[in-house]
Amino acid sequence: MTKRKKGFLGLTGRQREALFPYIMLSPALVAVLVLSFYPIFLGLRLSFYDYTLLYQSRPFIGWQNYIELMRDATFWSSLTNTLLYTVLNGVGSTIIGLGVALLLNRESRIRGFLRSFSLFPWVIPSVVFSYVWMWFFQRDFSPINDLLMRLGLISEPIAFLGNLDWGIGPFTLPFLSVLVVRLWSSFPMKAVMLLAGLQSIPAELYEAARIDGATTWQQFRHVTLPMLVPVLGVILTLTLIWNFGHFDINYLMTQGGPRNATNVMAVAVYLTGFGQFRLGYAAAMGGIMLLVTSLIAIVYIQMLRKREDL
Amino acid sequence: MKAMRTRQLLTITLTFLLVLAVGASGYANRIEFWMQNYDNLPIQSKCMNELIAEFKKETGITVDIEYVNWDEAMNRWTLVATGGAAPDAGDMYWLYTFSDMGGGKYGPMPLDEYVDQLGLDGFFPSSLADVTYKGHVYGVPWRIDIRLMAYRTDYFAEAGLTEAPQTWEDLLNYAQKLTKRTSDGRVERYGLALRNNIDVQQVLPWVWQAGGEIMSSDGKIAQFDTPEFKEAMQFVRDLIYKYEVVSPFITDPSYNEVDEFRANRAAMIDHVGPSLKRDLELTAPQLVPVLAGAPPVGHKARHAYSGAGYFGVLYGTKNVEAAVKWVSFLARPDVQLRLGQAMRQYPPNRTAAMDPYYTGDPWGASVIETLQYAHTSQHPSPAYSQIMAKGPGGVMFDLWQAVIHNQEPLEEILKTAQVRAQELMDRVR
Repeated sequence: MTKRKKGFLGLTGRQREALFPYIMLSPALVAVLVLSFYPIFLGLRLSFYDYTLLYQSRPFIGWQNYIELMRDATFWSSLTNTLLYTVLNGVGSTIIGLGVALLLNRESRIRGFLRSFSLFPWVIPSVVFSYVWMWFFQRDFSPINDLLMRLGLISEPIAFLGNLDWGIGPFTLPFLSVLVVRLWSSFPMKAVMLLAGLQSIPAELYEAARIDGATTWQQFRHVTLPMLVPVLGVILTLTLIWNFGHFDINYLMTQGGPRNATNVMAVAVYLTGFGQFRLGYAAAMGGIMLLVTSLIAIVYIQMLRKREDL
Repeated sequence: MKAMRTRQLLTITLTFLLVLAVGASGYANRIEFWMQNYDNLPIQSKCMNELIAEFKKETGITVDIEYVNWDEAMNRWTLVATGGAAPDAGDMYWLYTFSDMGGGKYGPMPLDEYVDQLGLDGFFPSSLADVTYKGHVYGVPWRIDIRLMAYRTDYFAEAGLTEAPQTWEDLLNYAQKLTKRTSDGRVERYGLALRNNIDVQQVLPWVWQAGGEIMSSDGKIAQFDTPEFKEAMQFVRDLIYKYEVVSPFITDPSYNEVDEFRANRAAMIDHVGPSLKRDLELTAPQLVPVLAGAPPVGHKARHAYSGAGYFGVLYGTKNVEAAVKWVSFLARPDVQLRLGQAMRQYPPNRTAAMDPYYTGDPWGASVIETLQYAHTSQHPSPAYSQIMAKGPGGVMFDLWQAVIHNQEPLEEILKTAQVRAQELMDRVR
């Protein structure tokens, strides 16, 4: 009778082979569990408590924080703004990024310079550019107002960040002004990703299209766009997730004001947690954010799976 | 051989114990002190090093100082008050809030048994309100944070005004005279600038001046929906929209009252901090000769928003005695004067404040004069810091935004604020 050869921990070669990937992945898994899942779990747990830093008693209150959220006008307006910013900035910056990528993909002597130049908004720290844009939008000292007045296009300076009289519904002037800054800061990354996508499209496809008599628009519509769909899908999904949790520009420029016009969920969570010290309530807001971003992530994973199946 | 080993073991043990004892005694004579940055860090640091050296010479206690940037101060002290790493003593503020957060375990430590040592007799009473909570004394005030009125003497002279306004009526008259319009009616210069809309502290003096308070003296009842509060907010609205002597663009988050003042677009600023003069020295020195200060105006009462930073001892310290000695050292009039001079602050110690360094300067004298009208910014309910929280969702913030945006009736705004403030106050436990 031959004895089966056993090695490390009494496992067979096959078992060891099956176990190997898990062992290699385990440090990363542990790190993710400790640094991501545990805080998420703690946050969710916190959302069921009336946990206010000012008080020593922090009772369990079940769904009370979530019920209160449903009645909270600040929460609803920040959720609406977040969704609007997410969609408008996500789609808008992708369109601008695609335009820039198409320009940068063309043969030009100054292509290198243009590529570096277009990355500018990406490399400037958000604190710096937020303050610069605040100055651009400041009513009395704004160079934009100065230019518009010199050109005779306006007679009074515009309070870009303060005027709530212009606009419809949530699309107020402060909302749109902050959106401009967010678009400006987020298109370069899309441009870089799309540029990589554009460069991976085989030149033969364009050649064939040209031989078939396709115009530039038809080449774009029937060759470029379909070939970019995988990249666009990834970009859009990631952008939606990132934008949903966006904090810095809105906080730095307006702190969510005036009158909630630019308030987004991340800013509302911060102000509730660290301004009003209501950590439990802020955690409940975070719980809603988690829910929404999870939905986007599920859609994204489904998309990836479908693509793999294809 | 065995006896030798025993001797060696004994020697090692004794040496170890000796080192431990020396270490422990050193530890008892060493304290950690955190302080925020003020004005010019090298000058602050030179002053503090000198004081620390003098203190060591006098007491043998070493003070290890760590400077905390104001940007991270709030997070640091919040962590301290909730059980995070804490120094033995620190340069603190928001006593009521941090004390409630700590709940008698962390954060500011009451120093009742050391009160005689602290030497608080020589301090302005208004500043002592910021170191006293629920009948306990927590430290020594060292910098006055009082809000006064600033104005341009050249514009006053131009308008034939010789002295600062005293009442709301004066304020309106003065602001009307000082507001300058172009031929087509556009405002070139506003008579009065209010502070940036994010600063909700500016609401309080208006209410106090109208004879109101935002909560009852026992901290149980919110007092937003009152005739006094309404009168105050109506007056502010009228200044902006009826009389057009205050810029309606204070609603803009990028608006800054000091920028307006610097750019000759405002003749007076209400409720401004003492640091304005220093700010102008650095950024618009040409305006310093025409800058003057005065206590804020009054109506049914005359009050100025007042707070004070203080030196206190933290729970968790193993060197209470040494920390108290350090804090008491910093309370001395000569030390308060040196701290004030080095860090461009106004000392709450009377002797230091009456030094010619302050009283010889008209702006400094105005700051000291304003102390007569000081109304503490501390309130008797821990919900106060929630009510005053900055940003959308804060009760006072939302109220102030609604008032200055002039879109809703005051009655509704005040009723909503009343309900929300009362809800927060009822949650106090």
